Amino acid sequence: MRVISGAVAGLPEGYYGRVTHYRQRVFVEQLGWRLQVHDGCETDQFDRADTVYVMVEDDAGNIAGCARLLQTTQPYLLSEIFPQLLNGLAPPRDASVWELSRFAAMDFNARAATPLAQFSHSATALLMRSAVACAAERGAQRLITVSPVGIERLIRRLGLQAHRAGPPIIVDGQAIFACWIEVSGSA
Amino acid sequence: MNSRGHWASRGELASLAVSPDGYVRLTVAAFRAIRLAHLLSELDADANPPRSSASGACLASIRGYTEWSSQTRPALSLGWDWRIATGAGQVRYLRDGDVRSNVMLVDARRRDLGALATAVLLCVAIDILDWETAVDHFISNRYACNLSNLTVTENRSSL
Repeated sequence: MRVISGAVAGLPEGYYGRVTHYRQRVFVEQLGWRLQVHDGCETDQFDRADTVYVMVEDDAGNIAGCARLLQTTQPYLLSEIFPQLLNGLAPPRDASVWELSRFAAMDFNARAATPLAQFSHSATALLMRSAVACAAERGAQRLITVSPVGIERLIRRLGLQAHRAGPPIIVDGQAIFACWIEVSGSA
Repeated sequence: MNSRGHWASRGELASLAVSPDGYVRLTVAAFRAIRLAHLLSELDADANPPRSSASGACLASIRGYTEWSSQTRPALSLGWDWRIATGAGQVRYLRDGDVRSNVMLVDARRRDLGALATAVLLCVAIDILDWETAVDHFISNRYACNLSNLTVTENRSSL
C-alpha cells in the first residue's frame, strides 16, 4: 500500500476525482449519508484549494481509504454544521488545531462491502497514522474529528491520546460525535 | 448518588464548564452526584458472518457498546464496550475495557488526576451503576426482530 496526500493542486492527476468518487461510494452508497453528489463524486463546501487529502492506495491501485484535513482558521465541518458536538465550547480557530473528517477505509474488493466495513481492513491504521503525520507536518498539535463513534475505539487501539468532546448525536441514523486527538508525540 | 456527596458538590455542579481542551473537570464527589442516563447501545456486528452458519442459528460472541450522558450543562459523556457472558444458565452483561469519556477528574485543589486515574475511577463508578438493565432493554427492543435467529460475531478490528 502507499499513501498519497496533499491539497488538490499537489495531488497526482486524477486523484481528486478518485477520492471524491470513493467518498461517494462509501458515505452515500454504503452508509446512506445524505450528501451532495455530482457526477458520481461527493463534495461539499469544505473541499477547497486549501483542503488536504490523505489517501491509501492498495497494491492494485485502488483507493482503499481516505481522510480530509482542514485547518480550523477557515470554516470547517464542525464549526459550520455540527458545533453542538463541542458541548458548549466555541469552535476552535487555531492554526495548531486541524479537523479530520470523511475518514473511511472501506475495502470494495472484499466479498461483502457493507456499512459495517467502514473501518474494516488493514488500511485503517495506516490511514489514521498518515493523517496524523500529515497534519503534524503542517503544524497541527491537535486534531478534532467529526466521525461515527466507532472511530474512538480505533484511535485508542492505535495508541493515540484522544478523548471525546461531548455526547454523540444521531444523524441519518448514525451516532456521530467529536473527538480530540493529540498530535504531539503521536505522529 | 448519595445525599452527602450531592450537598458537598452542589456548588461545583453549578459551575461545571468545558475546558479549552474539551474536558469537563470535576471532583469524584461531584461526578458521583450526577445522574447518568442511557443514550444508545449498539451491537458490534461482523460484515462477514461465519461460513458455518448454514445449519441454522449460530450464537457467537455478542459484543457491543453503550453511550451514556448527563443532563448537566455541559454534559458528561461516557461510553464503554460490553460483552455478554453466559454460564450456569445465566446471561450477564460485562463491561469490556475502559470507559471513554470527556471527563477529567480533579482533586480537591483542582489538579488533574490524569487520564489513567480518571479512567480507573470511572470504571469503578460504572461497575456500580445498573447499566446492564438499560442496555438489555434497549438492545432487546432494537434487535427484537432479529433475535430469533441471531448471528453476530465479534470483529474488534472493524471500528
